[in-house]
Amino acid sequence: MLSLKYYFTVIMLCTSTVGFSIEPITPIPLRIPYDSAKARLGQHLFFDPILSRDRSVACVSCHDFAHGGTDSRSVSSGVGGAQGSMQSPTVLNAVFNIAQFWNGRAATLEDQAMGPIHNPVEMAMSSDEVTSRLMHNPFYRQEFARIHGRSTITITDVAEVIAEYEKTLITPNSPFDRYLRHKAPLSAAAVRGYEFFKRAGCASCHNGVLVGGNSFQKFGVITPYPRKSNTDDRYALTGKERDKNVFKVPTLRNIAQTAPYFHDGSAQTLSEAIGIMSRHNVGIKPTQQEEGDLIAFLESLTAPLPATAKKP
Amino acid sequence: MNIRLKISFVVLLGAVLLGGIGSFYVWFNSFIDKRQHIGLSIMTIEALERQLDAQVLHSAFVLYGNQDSIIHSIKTLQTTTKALSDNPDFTADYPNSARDLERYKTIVSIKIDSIYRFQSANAAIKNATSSIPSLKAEALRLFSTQKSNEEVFLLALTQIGGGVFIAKGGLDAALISTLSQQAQMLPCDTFSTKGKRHLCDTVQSNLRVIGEYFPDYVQGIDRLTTSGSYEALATLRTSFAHENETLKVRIQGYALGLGIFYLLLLGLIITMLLRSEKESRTDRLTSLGNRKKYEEAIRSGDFGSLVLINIDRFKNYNDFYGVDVGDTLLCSVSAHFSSIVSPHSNAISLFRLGGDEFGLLFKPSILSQSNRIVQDILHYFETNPLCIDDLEIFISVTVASSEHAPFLETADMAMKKLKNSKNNAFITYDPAMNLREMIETNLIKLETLKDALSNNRILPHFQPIVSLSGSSLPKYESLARVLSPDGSIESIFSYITLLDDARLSGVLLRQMIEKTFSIMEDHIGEFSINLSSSDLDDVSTVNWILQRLEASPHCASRLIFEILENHIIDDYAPIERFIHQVRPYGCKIAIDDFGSGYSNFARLLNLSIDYLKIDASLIRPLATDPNAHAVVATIVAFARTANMQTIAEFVSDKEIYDAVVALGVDYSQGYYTGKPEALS
Repeated sequence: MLSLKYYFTVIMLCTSTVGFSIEPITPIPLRIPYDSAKARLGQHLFFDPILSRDRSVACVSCHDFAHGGTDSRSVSSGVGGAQGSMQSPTVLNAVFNIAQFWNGRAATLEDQAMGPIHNPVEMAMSSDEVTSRLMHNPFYRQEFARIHGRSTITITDVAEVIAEYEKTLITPNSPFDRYLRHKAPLSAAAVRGYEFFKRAGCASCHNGVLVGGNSFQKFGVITPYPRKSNTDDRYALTGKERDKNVFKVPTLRNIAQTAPYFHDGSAQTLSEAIGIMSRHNVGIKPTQQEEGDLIAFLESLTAPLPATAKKP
Repeated sequence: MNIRLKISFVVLLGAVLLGGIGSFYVWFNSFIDKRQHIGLSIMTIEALERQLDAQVLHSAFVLYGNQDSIIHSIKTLQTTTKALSDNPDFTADYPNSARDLERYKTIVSIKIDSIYRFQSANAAIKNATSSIPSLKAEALRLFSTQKSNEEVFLLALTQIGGGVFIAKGGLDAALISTLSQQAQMLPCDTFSTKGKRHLCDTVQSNLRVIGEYFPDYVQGIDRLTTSGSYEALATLRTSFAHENETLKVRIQGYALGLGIFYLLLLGLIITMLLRSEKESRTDRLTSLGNRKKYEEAIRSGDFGSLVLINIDRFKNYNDFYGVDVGDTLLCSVSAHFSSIVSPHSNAISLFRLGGDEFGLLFKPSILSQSNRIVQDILHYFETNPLCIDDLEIFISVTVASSEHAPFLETADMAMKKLKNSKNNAFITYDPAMNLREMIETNLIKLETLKDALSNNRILPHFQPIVSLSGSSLPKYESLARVLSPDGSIESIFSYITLLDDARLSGVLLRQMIEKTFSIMEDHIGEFSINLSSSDLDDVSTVNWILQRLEASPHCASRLIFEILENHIIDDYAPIERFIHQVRPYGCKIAIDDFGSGYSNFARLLNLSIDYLKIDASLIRPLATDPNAHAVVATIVAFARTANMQTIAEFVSDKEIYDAVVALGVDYSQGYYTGKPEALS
């Protein structure tokens, strides 16, 4: 059985090379597998400020579903009103990212979930504080015990349920995905915008299921972009000069809802963002017509929220 | 080692073997599974990396493609590699392969880094490259060939545009560098309008980007084939194959070990079987061959005669000195036999055939010496005591030899005959002895006797015992007769030995007492009945007699018990007790066959006897043998002193009668004075 499974995998991997999509963008899968009991518990935690030191912020504080799973502020604020340095990336469809955070420092959703909890300017909690607080809470103690059959709660358990919850936060039914799936027509403007998107070179970086999120690129290839010293870019990880202002390409899914834009939240509107990207990374200046089409295309990437994107 | 211990031992070893086979089976299976799993993981890793290469090349080829598949392949490659390197079976059993895998991981992680950089470079270069034609179109719209610096710009832009496509196709970093430098030397400052200067700047920026990213782009593609990852994977495969070979040798070793263990176990079982076979043919005490071995020897060998040697009265030594001494005695005897026959050990085999019975099997070649050897044996034990601990014990042996098959049976018959006659120590079987016919006759007689006893065909005949003083009531001895179905009447005499051997004397006694009593009802006088001393050893018989006496007191008071000493009496207590028990009923006691050799004068004095019946062997020659005359005279004198009366048996003619009367014997019994007859 084992061997069959492996041969099957090898054959699938080999054949999948032939199956490259003609389009650079692929629709979000309608569903992906997850553990519903864990996801439900993760949903509770996501909305519960119990995970922050002064019980003032929850995950949802900076990943607001009303704003496409992001923060409407340029940079997020944590416990005691402390200010972060980066615009919070969306939690929607995060499961498809090459890695988590702007600079990809977390390989998995679990690793990511621990980041804000421990971050002194976000939730500012140690692992022990988290587990002890949850174990003293009758609801969580009971729910975790139901899942694992033991009375203790580890920090890994906490990360696991949050990650499991995030797997439910996918938005597969945007007009553009329905267009790709031949389920519904797209507005002419959006189709023109998509063509321009490909022709202008946007699709070189923004492709795949997330329309981004699958490579690291420099902000300001053509025209250099000013870098703040406290920016969490790839340089902050590698210390290599070339990695300055290099970030994970952000997803354009639900982009119309996630303003402000960029890692520093410097662009307030799509039009502004398009202008900055054109200048710094593509080296073009789209016409008004082109910009309008592009915005129409970007708006077609907005999908209904998943059923789990609300307080349980 | 006893059999239970042996069985436990073999079962234990068998269980160990079974456990060994079981664990081998489990180990072997898991080895195959692990090997397959690991081998497939290595194959998967290589397939994933080749797929990743193809995807990277594909993304270099298409202008805008989906890079998700690259990321997916990288992640799968990383997970598969990590799973293998975290697999404890792999790291434990394949240390060299595991080391190679770590090396591969390092190389691949460098390759993956360069792919990430390639992705960045690829996007930037694609965008920059693809913008050149539109910039050229824009330039043609803005610039004029009339102005020399603008013409130079247009020319240079065209050259650069063409060069970039060539260099990108050829992965020519040097050409890109030249083109990039050429672009930087464009005279952007000399253009009159802002639009023209911006266009020129943009061209410069794009070329700068191309120049800047091209090394990463080239390296990314180059690394696909030159990273050394495939070589590392090949090394890993070689190590894996090599280590599998080593494991295979270990498995073969284990299997071989199990096989050897199996053979050893088999050998052990066979050895134990052989040994127990041998033990079953050997007498444990003396280490001589036993009856089983004797039978095998007889079946397979050619022998001329068997000499059976029986230790006389061995049971007495056992009873008297204890079993330990008895055993030592047997060993000692067997050792003496061995040393006596040792000069001929290749022609004589020695066996212990029974408790106190030994056998010497003679080969035909030595048959002539067998008598001499038997004499040696007899002589040795006649003249030498056996020394056991501090005891000196003289033993005697009885020897029976036979040259007639079946040896054991014939020698045994001869031995029985010898033991019965008691007057010799050595007998040689002779078919003329008719021993076999005797045995057959005995069997027929036994049937007749049993038949008579169970069918009421035992008759008492009564022989008068005549008082020689003339003044007493008549006396009779009640003698058993066997009535045949054909009507003939036989004396019980020829059945006497059978009665004891077949334990029938008690039955006969009861019938005789019953029948004698019923005759006594109608006749006056005293009646005597024979009773052997061995009858008195049987408590149930004694009790029956006492009850019968109780029931018929007028018979009991006229009854005489003639006690026969038919064997050496070791213990007189049962006789004494019996006499005391029957006295109250008025019974009298006679000693039968007195003077036949067993009787002990001294003991008799204590037994309050009424009559002594003088043995026929003394009465018959009375008229002719002065010695017999003297002995009878002594007995009569002794009886008178002890207040006993004497009865002479076998008074068959007048001469004897006269002699008896002359000697003063009190009673006469015999054909001369009256034959035994039935009374009605």
